[in-house]
Amino acid sequence: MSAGATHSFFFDRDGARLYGCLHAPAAPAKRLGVVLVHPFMEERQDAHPVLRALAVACASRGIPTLRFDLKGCGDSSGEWSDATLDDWRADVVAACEVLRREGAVTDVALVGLRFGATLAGLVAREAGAARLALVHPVVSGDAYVKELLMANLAAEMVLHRKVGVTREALLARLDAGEAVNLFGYAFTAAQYRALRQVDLTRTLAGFDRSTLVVDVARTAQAREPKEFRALTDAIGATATLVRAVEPYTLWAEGKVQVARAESVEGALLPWLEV
Amino acid sequence: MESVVRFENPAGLALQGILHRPERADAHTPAVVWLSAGQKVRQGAWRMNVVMARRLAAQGIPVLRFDYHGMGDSEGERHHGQFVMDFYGFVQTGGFRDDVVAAVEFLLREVGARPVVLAGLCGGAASALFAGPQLGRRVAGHVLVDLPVTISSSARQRYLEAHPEALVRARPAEADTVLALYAKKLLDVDAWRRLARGESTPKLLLEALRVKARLRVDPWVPHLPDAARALVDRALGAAPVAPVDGSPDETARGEVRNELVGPAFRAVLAAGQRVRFVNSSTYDPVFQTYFAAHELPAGGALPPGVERAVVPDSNHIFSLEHAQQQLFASLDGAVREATRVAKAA
Repeated sequence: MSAGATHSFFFDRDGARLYGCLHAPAAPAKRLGVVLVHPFMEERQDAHPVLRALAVACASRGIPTLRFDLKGCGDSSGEWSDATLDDWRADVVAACEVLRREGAVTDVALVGLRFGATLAGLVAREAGAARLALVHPVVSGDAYVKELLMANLAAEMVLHRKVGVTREALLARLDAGEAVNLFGYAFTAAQYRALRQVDLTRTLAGFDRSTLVVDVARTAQAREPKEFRALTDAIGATATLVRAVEPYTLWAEGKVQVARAESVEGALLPWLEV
Repeated sequence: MESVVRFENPAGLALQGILHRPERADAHTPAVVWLSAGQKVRQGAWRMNVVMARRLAAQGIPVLRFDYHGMGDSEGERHHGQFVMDFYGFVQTGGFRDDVVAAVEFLLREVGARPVVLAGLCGGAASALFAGPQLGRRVAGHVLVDLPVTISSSARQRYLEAHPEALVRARPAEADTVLALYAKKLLDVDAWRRLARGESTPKLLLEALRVKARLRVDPWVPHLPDAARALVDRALGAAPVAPVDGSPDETARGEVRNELVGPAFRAVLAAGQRVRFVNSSTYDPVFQTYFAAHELPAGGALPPGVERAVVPDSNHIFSLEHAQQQLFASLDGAVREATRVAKAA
């Protein structure tokens, strides 16, 4: 089946103008459509081609798929520093409505990568998602913040060729209610506080819709992250944990360009078609 | 007002972009094509493109941003599995030149005839520079931010293999090999037939002859008056440039001087386009070693139409707010200068 047409547009969400790109199949074969939620910060810029390829792959199987930019990201309006976790949650819910309307589908599968998966999980009930796919999700917001701060320190050393502001100093400023610069993003104290509260395992406990948790690993032998197993167990019988082996990192710069994630697609597409 | 736009490049691929169309823009106001660096899109340093474009549009300046072919949401082959350094090499040898030309033509159709300023960071700066000469008077100037002036040795090698004339220019010793090859062809009837049918061109032979002639006259050139030296340069091309040893950091990374940048810069100036170099403080030493030391006069006045600024305490992606503000001020200055020139004309 042909991947059909791609239509890019802006849509409104409570005054925010969000960029969307709908991959409409030539012959829609499903009641189900997909909303893809992108990862955050630096992870997003490297993951864009992978998400685009995934959208094309879905559309070629008759599944209308919407990619969109969260507030303050990509081509959407607003500044990163103005956006809150509540904004981003509302963006995802609005995108689901846009897909139902523009893609002429009744059921929506929310598919997210990294923190995009987390956002998808946070709003899955509110958005009325029929299915949920979490590709290497951030399960604990607190751990994610620490990870971001560590990565920022490493990036500072590469970019400035000197040790920048330490993690402890950044945390102190955030605790004092100030914004800090992470990779060029003004990470606000409000975002920090909201992210630290995120616990996907607690949020999704007992979620009764079909859920796929995809652990992306470099090798088949890599150790399974404990939090993915705990998340899957908390969701219960509707959840399945699978491993996708990808030779290259999908959301960080490596030595080669990564334009598609065959193994992730191999896990997602059959699940979407059931 | 921002709207999604699509236009075709010469290969027939649909390129997608965002056109920032201010509510009011007078006829003398230039339009800006803000060029993305290349591989990374939608976030990080790329988002600075959005911020800059919105600030310019708020001042009444139309701006076009777009994805090159194969990138972002534009059509074209995605080079899955290709080495990133090879992709950088593609950008640094003018791989997106035709996309930029198509973008300028599209923008002028949309917003009406007016001067255009090309601006971009890193690969965006390279794409602007390589497209500039082809656009002639349609482009008033460039704001080149951290213009890449080096290239990986493997990407350079790949480019030379695909462009034999450039190979002869870069490695004059190869001229003898080329001339020997053509000497054999003199007696080859088929070769003459191919030439007569237009199936082969003597471009490589002419380049080899030019390089040989240049090498022959080079010992006398320093003794010639300026006018005669300029005549030799025009007739025989600039003296062949060998890769230079640069900073230990760049050499360790396998980077060599990009020999295409200097001639492109000169062609841009010859086309009457202004150039404003804006460098981050971390990148400026590389620019100094591999470009300024060869193309700009030592320790003093820059050539007419050329300006240079360094943003203190800044990194290559201009991630700090003060660096973005200074970058915007520089861009704004270039646009004002283009406006002044347009009004004077």
